[in-house]
Parts: sequence; C-alpha cells; structure tokens
Amino acid sequence: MLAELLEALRVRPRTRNELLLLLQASPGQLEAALFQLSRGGYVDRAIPEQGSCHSGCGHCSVKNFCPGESAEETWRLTDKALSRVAPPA
Amino acid sequence: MTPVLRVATVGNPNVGKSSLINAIAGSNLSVGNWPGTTVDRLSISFELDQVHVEWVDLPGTYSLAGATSEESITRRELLTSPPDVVVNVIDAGNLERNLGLTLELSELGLPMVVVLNLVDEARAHGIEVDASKLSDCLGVEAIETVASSGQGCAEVKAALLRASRGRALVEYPEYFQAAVRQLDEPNRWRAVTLLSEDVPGLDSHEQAQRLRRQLELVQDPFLSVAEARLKMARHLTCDVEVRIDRGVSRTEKIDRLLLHPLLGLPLFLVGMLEVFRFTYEFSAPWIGFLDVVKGVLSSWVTSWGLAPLAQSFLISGVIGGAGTVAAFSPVLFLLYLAMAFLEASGLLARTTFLFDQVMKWVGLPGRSLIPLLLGFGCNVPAIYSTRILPNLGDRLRVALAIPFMACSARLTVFVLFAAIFFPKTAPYVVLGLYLLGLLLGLLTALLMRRFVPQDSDRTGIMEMPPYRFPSWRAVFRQAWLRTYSFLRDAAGPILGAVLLVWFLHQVPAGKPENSLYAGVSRALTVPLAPLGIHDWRLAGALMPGFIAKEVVVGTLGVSFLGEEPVAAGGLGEGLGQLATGFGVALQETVLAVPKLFGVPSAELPPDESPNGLSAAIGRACDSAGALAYLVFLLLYTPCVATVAAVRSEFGNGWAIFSVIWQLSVAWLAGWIAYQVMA
Amino acid sequence: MKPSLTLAQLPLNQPALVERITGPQPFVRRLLSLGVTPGCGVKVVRCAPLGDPIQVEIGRLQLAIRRLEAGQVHLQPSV
Repeated sequence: MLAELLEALRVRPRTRNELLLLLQASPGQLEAALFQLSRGGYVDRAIPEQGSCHSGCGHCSVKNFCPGESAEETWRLTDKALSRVAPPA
Repeated sequence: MTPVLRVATVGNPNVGKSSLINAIAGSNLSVGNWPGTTVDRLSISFELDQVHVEWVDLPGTYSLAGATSEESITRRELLTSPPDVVVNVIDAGNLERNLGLTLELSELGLPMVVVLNLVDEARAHGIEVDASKLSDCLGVEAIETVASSGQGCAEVKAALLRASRGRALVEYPEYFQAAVRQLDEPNRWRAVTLLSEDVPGLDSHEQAQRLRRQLELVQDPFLSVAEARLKMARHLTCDVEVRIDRGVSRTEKIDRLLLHPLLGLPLFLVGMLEVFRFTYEFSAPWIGFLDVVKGVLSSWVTSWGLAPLAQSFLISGVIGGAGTVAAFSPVLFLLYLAMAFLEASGLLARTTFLFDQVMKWVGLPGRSLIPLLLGFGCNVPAIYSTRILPNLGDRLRVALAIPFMACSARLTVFVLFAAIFFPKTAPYVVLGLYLLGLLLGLLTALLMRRFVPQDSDRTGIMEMPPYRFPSWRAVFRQAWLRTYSFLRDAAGPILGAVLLVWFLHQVPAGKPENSLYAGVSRALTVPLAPLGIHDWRLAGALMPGFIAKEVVVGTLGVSFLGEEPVAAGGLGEGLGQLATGFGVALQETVLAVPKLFGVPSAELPPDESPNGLSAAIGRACDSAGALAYLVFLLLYTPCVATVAAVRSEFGNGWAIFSVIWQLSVAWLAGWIAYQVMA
Repeated sequence: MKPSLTLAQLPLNQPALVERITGPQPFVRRLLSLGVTPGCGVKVVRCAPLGDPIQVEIGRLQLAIRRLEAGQVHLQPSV
C-alpha cells in the first residue's frame, strides 16, 4: 500500500479524499499509512494554492494564518521521497 | 524483602491510559514531571500478592521510533530501564491504528498485557473485538476494559503477575529478514529499527550501518518495514474485529416486520394514515378554538360602534387575516412533530428502502415519497421537508410536484361540491381527484428532469441507522422552530393577500355585485368559460383560494348568501367564551387519543358549510362545470404560504415558475375534464 | 477460477469478501468513506419488498444499495 501511496503522490499532491479513492483504503488504513510515511519524512501536509496566497506555502512562516490552512487536508512528497522513490522505469 | 514488579503503560495518545492508572490507583496516585521536561509523570505503587508493584504511565506515542520529546521519553524508558511488564493500552474502536505500536512492542520482547480499552464506545459504534482471538494471535493476554468506570481493572491487575512475552508477528521481506539475522543484535525491535531508520538515542554501530547501506541498494528498508507492519496490523484487525453474533438485534427484529416482503408496504400505508389522523384529530380542537377567539375579537370590535368600513376592515381584514395565519399553526406544528419523529427514529431511512423502486421511474430517491405524502396533509411543511433530500435537483423537482397533492384544506371544497353534483359517487370523485393530483405531480417531477440541474454525485447508497427512540425535547424543539419560521415567513404574504381581497370587496362602496372584486371575478370567467364556469362567484372564490384553500368555502358562502352579521359582545362575555372554548379544545384533544386507535371510517367528513349554500351553488353551474371546477381547484396554484415556502427554499424564479406551471396544467386538465363530461 | 461475483448476485445471507469497487468516482468514494474497502466482509440481509434496493451488512453498517450499483462491487471468488 505504501508504494501505491507514494506513486500516487509522486504524480502530484493529493487530498485525503483523492487518496482514499485511488488506494481504495479505509480512512483508518490511510491514516496509519500517512503516519508511517510522514514519520519517515517521505510525505508532509501541503497547503493548496488558494486565495491570495499563491506560494504553495510549505515552510511559509505565516502559514498558520493562511486561509488555505482550513482547506482540505492535502499531502505531498518531500524532497527526500522525491530523491529516493524513483519513477517507474 | 518483597519482590518488586515494575510496570509501564504504553499506548497511543487519548486511549485512556491515565484513566486506567487512575482507576487502579484509587487515591495513591502521584503526579510529577519526567526529568528535564514538563511532561506529566503519573505513577502508583501497590502490593499485589506479596509483590510490590511500581507502575508508571509512559507518555502517549504512535511509534517507539518517534522523535518528539514525549515519544523519546517512552523509548528511553523502555530501552534503558525496561519494565518487568508492559501494559499496552489500545482503543478498541480504532484497532488497526493502535496495533502498529503493539506490533513494535511485541518485537521489543518484554512481557506484556494488552488492555482493550473503551470497549463501551466501540460497541456503541457496533465494533466488537474478539479479545481471546487477539490474545491468541499476539501470544499475550488481552483484557477488555472501560477504564473510566473501572470495569476490567481488577483483571488487568491480576494479569500482571502472569504476563508473557508476545510473538513477533511482523513478516518482513526476505532481503530484510536476512539482514536482521546477520546483524549481531539479539533484540528484534532494535535490529529492525537500526536497519531501517535513524532514531535519536538509539546508537547505531558500524555493522548495522554497513548492512543498511547494502539494503538500501535493494529497496528502501524504511518503506519495507512500514509496509510489513501496516499489512500485519490490517491482517490482525480483519481477524479479530468481528461482529460477534449477539443474537438478533432489536433493530433487526423491527426491520423483519417493517421491511417484510408482504407486510412492509401495507404497514407503511397504515403508518402514514396514522400520521394524518394524528395531525387531524389533534389539530381540529385547536383550530376550533382559534375560531372562537376570532369570533370573540370580532364581537368586541363590533361593540366599539365604529364606522362600517373601519369595522369591516378590522373584522374581515385584520382579524380574518391573522386568523387565517394562525389556523395554519396547529396543523403545521403537529405535522412537523411527526416529521421530526420519523427522521430521528430511523424510520425515514426505511421508507426510502421500501419505495426506492417506485420512485425510481420518476428518477427520484425513495425518500422523496415522504415530502409528497406530507403534501396530502399540508403543502407547506412538505416543501420544507424536501430538505431530507441530499440533492438540490431532486429537492426542486419534488417541491414542484408537492402542490399537486390535494392538501386537507382542499378537501372541504371537494366534499361540498361532490355532495351537490355527484351525490351517489361522491367518495370516488374525491378519491379520483387525489389520484389525479398524485399522478400529475409525479409527471411534473419526471418532466422537470430535463430542465432542473442535476447534481453529479448522486448515488443510491444510504445508511440504515439503528432504530432509536428520539428525545422528546429535541423533537418538540425542532417542530416548534419550524412552525415559528413558517409563521415568520408566511404571515406577511397571507395577511397582505387577505387585505387585498378585502379591499377589492369594498371598492367601490355599495352592493357586492358592483364591487371591484365582482369585476375582477367577472373578468376571470372569460378564461374559465371553456371549463364551463360562467358564474362570477365561483370564479371569484378562486382568488381567496390563493391565500389559503380553507377560505374558499367561506368566500362562496359570503358571495352567494351575503355576509353574516357579527353580534356585538361585552368584555366579560367574550372572556367567558374564550375560557369555555379553551376548555372544550383541551377536552377534545384528550378525547382524540383513543380515536387514533379506532378503525378509520371510509366515510367523508360531514359537510359543515352554511345552510342554503348547497342549493345556491347547485344552480350556479352544471355537473360537468362542477367537475372542471374541482379539477381546476385541485391543481391551479399553490396557496400563498406554499409559494412563500418555495421562494424561501429555491428563490423567486422557481416560485413564479411553480405558479405559472400549475395554472397551465390546471386549466388544461379542467378543460379536458369539462370536454369529457359535457 | 470462478468468474467474479458481484454484490448484486450474492445470495441472501451468504458472507463474502469485497475484491474491488468500480464505477463513477463519487460512488466509490462514498463507499470507501463508509468503510467499505477491499478485503472487508459483506452479506446481503434482505431485499426490499419491491425487489430493489438490497440491504447489505458491511461490518457494523447496514446499507441500502440499488442493485445496479451493487453490481459494481466485485467480490472475491469464494474458496
């Protein structure tokens, strides 16, 4: 399941709902998988580009005040994952 | 010297670890901080079978390899001063998520007891965990508890002394297993962790680093480990999280009756009939009381001796209008009460299940039957009840169909006319009108499919919740709020329309036949002529019928027979009448209870229109015209209150469309009826 | 291997396991959010008096689902 999850995120960041759909996983399973991957530093939560904030924030220092923060939970790969998870040959 | 048993609780955050230690501690709980941190350190000690138990609560964590300060404390404690027994607390309702940590703990190789906490909540959500099966799988004792109430705590205590080491269950891929075997590290959890990730406080060594570099050439070991653990957690969950057969649930027993292949549909119809009887029987006394109030107020106004025009304005306009608004509220409140009950009890979902197939041919979900049926009681709450449909397109289509349902107010006119013109077949004529309305309503819904925006996410999947008895407070509150919002929204339009009709009646002063009202009514007979309606008094009654169908009969009475004079009454006399009226209403309400359980009669309610009206109407048109009039009246326009409801739910455009659409359908259907009959 | 069975064809009261769910996204998403996932057990409890929809027990849930849509839930071949 982790491999599929990483592959899904390699294409582009995705919302929780998208991931549930793509992986055909239950919310509990997805939560556990995302937990493992974020613990290993492979994925982190992204804030979707929205409103006036077009930076795709990430480490933006004011992201807590960003209107995008309340938006749907979105996940993306970290640089570490991008360097490690090779695109399929 | 007494032997010492060191115990540590480990578990995810918020699974009730501190509730457990609190329940076991009683009063001797000591609270401190973990050295160098502000993290609470809960501990207790007690004697158990000549053993001194020292129990500490480790901070919550999802993984032993975590990096936060709490997670580091837990790891450091477990690795540097391993307890004699680990008590792993698990949320029984969230097993898969919790088992990740359990699997790591069993690799750690310490004697362990698994505490399945919060089993009450899990059960409330319908989740049963087979504790003995879980125990077999893990190789350690698993005990169900409700720590907050102390349930199971004694068993946990007793299990401490016989705690066993768990089995390391997770199966890693072969390339990784091989490295674990090669690594000179007896502790499996340490070995696996050293080979797959960097964890603060866990000293790696040269051999581990070399092996890990080799592994990384094959695959990412971290991912392999995480994947294997997730898989095992899933596997275990599937195995032990079962619905233990507790016999047939109460809900299933009720469903066996209500959803019975043969009995289901008749039972539903009886239920629906009861809803209407309940509404009718309990509202009638209070509508009667409101009439008394109206009469008393009018008599007081008369006693003031005002100018005739002012008096008429107050009595027919203001009191009459307010009375019309108020007369809605008993029916509405009771129907809303029934609605709220159906919704909260889980019955509504069953209706959908029963009638989904029927509604499918008009392209609507099964539960859209409820608003349609409520429409037979009163269109207004029916419109609001379309909110039970999740889909806007469906809601709109149902709302456009609802006004075709013959509400109870229209019945008074049906009864009067049917008795005059079709004395032998009256019940069938009335029944036919009901069916005609239903049919045209459904056809409208079907037709509108093309014009109403359809939402994309429509699925027929629906949860069938367990039955439960709703709280009366919530049901009454909801019914009251909905009734109140009706009174707030519709009072204006109704009052305005009543005053307008009153105005038309009064201008110019003089005989009623010469009033503006009569003029407009005569103009109305032109479009109605093809329907066989030539009498202006019949045509005119359709105007107040737009305000509320209840007043059609009254208006006909006034037009044909003239206004009944209102006698003046004194204050004391009026108050006496009010008190008596209230007493009568209360008494009738109580008497209505047994009526609910009686056999419904197939007879039409008695005609209570003024004497002489029947004869006058009988002379006003022929039977073909009468039928056309009834058909037109059934279909022609929703009352003001319904239009207001459509407007507040769907906007001006649809409200106007609804009126125009119904007028067209009504005219056409009336014309056909007349042509067929004549 | 037997041909794949769908939920619509499952006989009454016979337990089976979900293999995969096909069909439009909202449908799949709705089922997944209700916890209907590959690997979980299902059972048809009854069908409505008029034949459609069917009542399905999935874990702790009772769901009403139309036959057409039940046909998109593929089941693992029984062993």
